[in-house]
Amino acid sequence: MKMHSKTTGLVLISFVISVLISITAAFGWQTKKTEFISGRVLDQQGSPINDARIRIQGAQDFVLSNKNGLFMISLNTPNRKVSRQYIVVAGKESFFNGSQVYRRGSSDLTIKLQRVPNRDFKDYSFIITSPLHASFSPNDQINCANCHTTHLWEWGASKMGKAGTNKEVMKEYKVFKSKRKPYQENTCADCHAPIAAFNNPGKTDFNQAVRDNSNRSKGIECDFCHKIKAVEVGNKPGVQAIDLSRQHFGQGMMQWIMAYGPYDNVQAMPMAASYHPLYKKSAYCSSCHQDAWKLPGVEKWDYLSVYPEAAKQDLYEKGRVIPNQWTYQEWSEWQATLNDDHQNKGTTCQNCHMNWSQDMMPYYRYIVSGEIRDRFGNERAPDSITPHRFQGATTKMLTGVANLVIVAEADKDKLLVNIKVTNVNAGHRLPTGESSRNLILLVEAKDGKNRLLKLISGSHVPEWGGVGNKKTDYAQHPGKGFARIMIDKNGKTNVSSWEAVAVVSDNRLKPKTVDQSDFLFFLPNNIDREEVSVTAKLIYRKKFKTALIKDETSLKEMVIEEKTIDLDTGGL
Amino acid sequence: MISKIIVTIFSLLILLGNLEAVTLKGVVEGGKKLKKNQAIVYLTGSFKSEVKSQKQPILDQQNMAFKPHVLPISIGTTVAFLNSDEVRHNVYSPDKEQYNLGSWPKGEKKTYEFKQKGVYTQLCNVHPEMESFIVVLDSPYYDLTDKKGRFEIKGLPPGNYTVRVWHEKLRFKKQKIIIGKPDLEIVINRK
Repeated sequence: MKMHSKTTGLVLISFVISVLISITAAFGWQTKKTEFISGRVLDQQGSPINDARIRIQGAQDFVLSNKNGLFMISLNTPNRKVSRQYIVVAGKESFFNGSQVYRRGSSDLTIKLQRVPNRDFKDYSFIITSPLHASFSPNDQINCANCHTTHLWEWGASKMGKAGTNKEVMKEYKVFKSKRKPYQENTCADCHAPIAAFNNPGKTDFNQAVRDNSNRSKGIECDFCHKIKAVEVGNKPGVQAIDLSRQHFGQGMMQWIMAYGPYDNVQAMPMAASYHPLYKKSAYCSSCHQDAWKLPGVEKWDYLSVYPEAAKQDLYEKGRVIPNQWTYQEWSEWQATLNDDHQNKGTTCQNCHMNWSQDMMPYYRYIVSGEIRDRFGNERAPDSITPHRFQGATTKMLTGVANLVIVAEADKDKLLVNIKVTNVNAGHRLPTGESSRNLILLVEAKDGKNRLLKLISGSHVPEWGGVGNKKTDYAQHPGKGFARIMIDKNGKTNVSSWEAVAVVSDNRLKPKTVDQSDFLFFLPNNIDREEVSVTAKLIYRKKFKTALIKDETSLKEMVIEEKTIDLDTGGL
Repeated sequence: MISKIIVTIFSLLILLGNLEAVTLKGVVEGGKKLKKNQAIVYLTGSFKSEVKSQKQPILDQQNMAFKPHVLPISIGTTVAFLNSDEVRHNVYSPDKEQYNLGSWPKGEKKTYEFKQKGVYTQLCNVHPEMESFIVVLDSPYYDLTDKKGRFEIKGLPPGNYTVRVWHEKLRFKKQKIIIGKPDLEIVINRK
């Protein structure tokens, strides 16, 4: 009994001691001093810079400097890797990014930022990045792909990388060149060959620009885009809406490549990076994805009959311009309808068109590649990397962009079908871009023996869906078409925007909007209702199938959505 | 006499026991497209529509894809939506109940209870190519086909049923069957 109470006493004492140790440990942990990196951001004259963005290189979180240029970064943030030293980087618009190494326990940092000189040299020679220039040799001019190899592959395969060699653009340019009116500017190169067009906007021959050796570019170059200093949102095409900052940083052997971009924490020779918020904004893309053609003299068209909502703005310049690329404006109108707390508010072009896709897996965590990455690379979260694939009207992008809902019901000898088409995931109209892009809804009702039921009432696919007996001639099939239709001065429809004098209709689907249509089919009494099915299909085409279309492959037809329901189950 | 009655009842019990344990096996013939994406074989008929008991099914997102690509569930089931990927994802469906679960980073979870039958396309509004399907059935009897198109539905009570197949691209003939004898094997062809 005595022995027992002794043991109990010992156990109690050990318990009390261990509890005390735990409390001390916990107390010690709780009072552990929070560690900060503090410092100032100054310009070259020693004046403080406010609202500079400061972060540990590669980290997702950042702080802003105050009006005295002061900042503090906590090192006790979750997920922060413990290190003996950190590279602290600061960035602010119109300054080159700057950095300092912070060693733990050392005193305050001073990060000095140099202002980007407010200048633009007309004779600047752009760096041309093409697959031919991807490998580095001492004889080659240094180019972006030496370090950003992955971006080169993505860009090289994209529409941006092929803007100067796109066969469809070349064909259209040939027609434009032969029919262009004297009052019309020659603006194709303003977007498709901007390096050549920048010093001669509205007057550069696209063919010549592509052949020109001094240009040597097959597309829209890295060095061109990353030298864009400002974009004027409006109807001016391409380079006419752009301000550049064509210059190097430094001189002679110490000459660095000046590059604007979305990162405030990049500092890597031979590139002198400058953080620019424009690079994450849709306005940046508006330079080439928002423009219009001027009509001659005082000619006007009745734009309010097609776009009544345009009364609030003057984008159609009181009817004196014909919209060409209008995607930015479509996005902008949609954004204006969203409340501030709407989850799509603030979604930009870059969010969707410069994002990851499955075939890019595994994620790359560095924006530089190869040896450069291993020596100087800075690991980043994939969420902070923007792949340069620029997906547009491709199967990947159009998957799930539209949704179909079919409701069918038999009523005596009639089959009532209601179809809803929704633009669920495009932040602009569907289709968008060139006026020739169109969407066709095809509706079919069949009996158990795959025989088509006859349409009694309901709309048909318009003529531009293709008249004839081929499988791809959809005109007069039950369904409808979604497009922006323009006419020329002779009243001919489905013309290109540069030929047009007016837009006569535009039923392309605005973001998140639903188009509903009813179709009535004849359902003979001898047909087994249980075997009846209804199919709806959405077909995307890059061109109208008019009589001019000889080569069907140029239509680039894609079935972007298809649904079938059985009458007896309504879908399942 | 009593022994005869006992034998009869015993035989009937064995028979009923067998009937309750009827398994429907079969194969869906659909070629390459069926190998790529699975089909759901399900039964409709006049059975009690009991919810198939199952653990909370999961729809995960990994390497820019939904996993699984096709998820059949019964009405009333709550699905857990995960994100095991390095980037933020969103989940929404434009079909039937039309939900949008928002966007969330790796490691977080959202749930949604499906109250209406139907095919719900799962989409991510920041990665348009991502697509999968949650198929909500009012039948407790269903199975996903394997790579060879085979399926197996166990525990079918006797009765008249229609066997139907759902596939995202293909259409199949429905088949009427009578469950009355042990183990049935069928072949389902395309329309």
